[in-house]
Amino acid sequence: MDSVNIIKKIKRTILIVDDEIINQEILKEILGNDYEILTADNGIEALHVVHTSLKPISLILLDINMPLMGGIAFLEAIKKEENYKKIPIIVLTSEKQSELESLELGAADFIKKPYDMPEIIIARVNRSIELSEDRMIIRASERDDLTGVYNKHIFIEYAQKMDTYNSQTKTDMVVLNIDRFHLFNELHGREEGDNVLRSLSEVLKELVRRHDGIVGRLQSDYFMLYMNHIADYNEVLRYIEQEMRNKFNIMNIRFRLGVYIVNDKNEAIDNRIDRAKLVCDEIRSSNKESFTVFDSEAQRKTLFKEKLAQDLLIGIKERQFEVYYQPKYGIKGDKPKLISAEALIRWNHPELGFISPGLFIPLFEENGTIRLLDRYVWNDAAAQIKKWKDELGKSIPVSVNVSRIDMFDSSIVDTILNIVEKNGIEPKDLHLEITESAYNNETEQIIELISEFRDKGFLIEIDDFGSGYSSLNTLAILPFDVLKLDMKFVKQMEKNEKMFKMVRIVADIARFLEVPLIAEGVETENQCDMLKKLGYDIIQGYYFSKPIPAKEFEKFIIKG
Amino acid sequence: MLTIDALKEFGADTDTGLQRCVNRESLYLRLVKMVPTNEGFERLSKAINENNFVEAFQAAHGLKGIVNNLSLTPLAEPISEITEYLRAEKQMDYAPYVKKILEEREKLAKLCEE
Repeated sequence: MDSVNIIKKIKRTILIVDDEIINQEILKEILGNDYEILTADNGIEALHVVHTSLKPISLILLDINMPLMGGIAFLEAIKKEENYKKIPIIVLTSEKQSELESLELGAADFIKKPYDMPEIIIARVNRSIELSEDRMIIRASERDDLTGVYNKHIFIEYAQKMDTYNSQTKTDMVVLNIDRFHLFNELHGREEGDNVLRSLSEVLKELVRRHDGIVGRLQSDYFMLYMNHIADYNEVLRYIEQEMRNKFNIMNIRFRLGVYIVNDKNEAIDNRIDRAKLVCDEIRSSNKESFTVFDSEAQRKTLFKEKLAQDLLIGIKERQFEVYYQPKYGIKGDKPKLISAEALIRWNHPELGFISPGLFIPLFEENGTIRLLDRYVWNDAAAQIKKWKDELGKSIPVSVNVSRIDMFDSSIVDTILNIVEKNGIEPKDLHLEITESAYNNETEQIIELISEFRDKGFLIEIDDFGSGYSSLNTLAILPFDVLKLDMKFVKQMEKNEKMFKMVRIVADIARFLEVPLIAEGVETENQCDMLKKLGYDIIQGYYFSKPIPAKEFEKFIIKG
Repeated sequence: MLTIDALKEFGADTDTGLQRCVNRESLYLRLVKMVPTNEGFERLSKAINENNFVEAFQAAHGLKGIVNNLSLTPLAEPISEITEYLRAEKQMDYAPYVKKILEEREKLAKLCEE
């Protein structure tokens, strides 16, 4: 027997409330075959029966005019009781006025006095019970088991309905999350955690009621709210925290709110939830604010980043990346002399066009995929060095970046050595630029690795010197061959005296350590002259040339 | 012994009354027998004598439900009328209605005793 039939077989209980025994008896006779019947003579007695009945009451048949407590007062009383307010009530009445009043108070239906034929009464009673039970089943399937708020599917459906009926009302989609809830669960146990979620749901239900909205549970400790626009979300956070404290004695829990102000009601509800969640999660990582309003510019940037991350592999495969070369000139003699080049990557994206490395390199450093790009550059640069050697008969060393993450690859030395050998060049042709900040942690391990590179014949340049926090001690023990000043010093040294002094100090350090000194980002003749006077050896920057494709670079090689 | 025929003679619409009792004659007759002793008659009579029209309305309204459910027409008619006048708070002499109602109750009581 399926569950529906089992439900149909159960003999339900009906409560008849009427002060006239004769009326009770008639209804008992009509309904007694199909239902268990309880009776009460007035509202007070009826409330007592409802509270004490061992069997759940499926329906109440309620007379209006009764002594002590009449039907209307009973309706008002029972609708306030959370556990019983859903019991369907059919009002027994002969008065039009009472019909309206009782329906307004939440009665499911009414039966006229004198009674209709028994079949009609039975049908109306059956129908009211069925409707109420269907509603309960729908209610159960619409709602999250733990908290009783809507599940995502129903939440979206109701949010759409809200839009349809209130198309002109400004609304907000909000995602709320509990700060470090997993820690709370670990500290206090799952049961206590569930209790917090349930209490929070009650607070949120009241909150959305005040703002004509709805609340649903998105996942674990994420809730979604869709309601009329609110100008001050600090106020909302205060309200939630205060209610949790006052009503449930729950303290020391912080909440994060991601707010998406809806501008276009045609936009999919799903999207709006995603956007509110996105900003809610951004707070998690920033750990500063308690709520953030979605900013479409920020979203555009995030989407752009996501697209780049997705397109990287195909970009490498399809060789959308091109290695450019920027010349480095020695300025010691009378005439600047081409000494070497730095390999710099450019991405010619098929849809987005040329993308600045400033946009994609930090992103790939962050997600670790920079390793793939580094290998791409090393291979291309090595092949280019060989090509220039063969075609132009000149050996131009090229420096390539070795990212911090590469340093933790145990086979990195072999990998680069392999590339050198495969392309028929020598280690001294490939200079390895390692950014200063890479030295900050695991110094011993890095020193060991760099020593190994140098033993194999590679030249090590410390890149972006001055941007990190190398101590003089670190500088003294670090093995390296060239110091490369961070470009922001050069950019500011003409206007900022402190910067100029720093540029001079770095020159002194390089002299003291007896290593060549490179300045990059040099754009003007004046900057070049200043650096030359301070004793800088090599200059890189737009003053000589921007980074250019290998073919164009040949002109510089020929000229020397 | 109270019978359906006797009630018909009294003027009751016994077919309809019986139908409301799922055509169970014994139940119908048992319920009809309970009518003459219903305290509503005394309440109504007393309230009218004391000009307590709110109480009179409550009593009449209760009686109206019973006698209509059992289709005891000779009682149902005057009780329904007085109920509506009382509901409308009509300033009038209610005594003839009460008299008529009590007379009909007496008739019914006699039938029930036989």
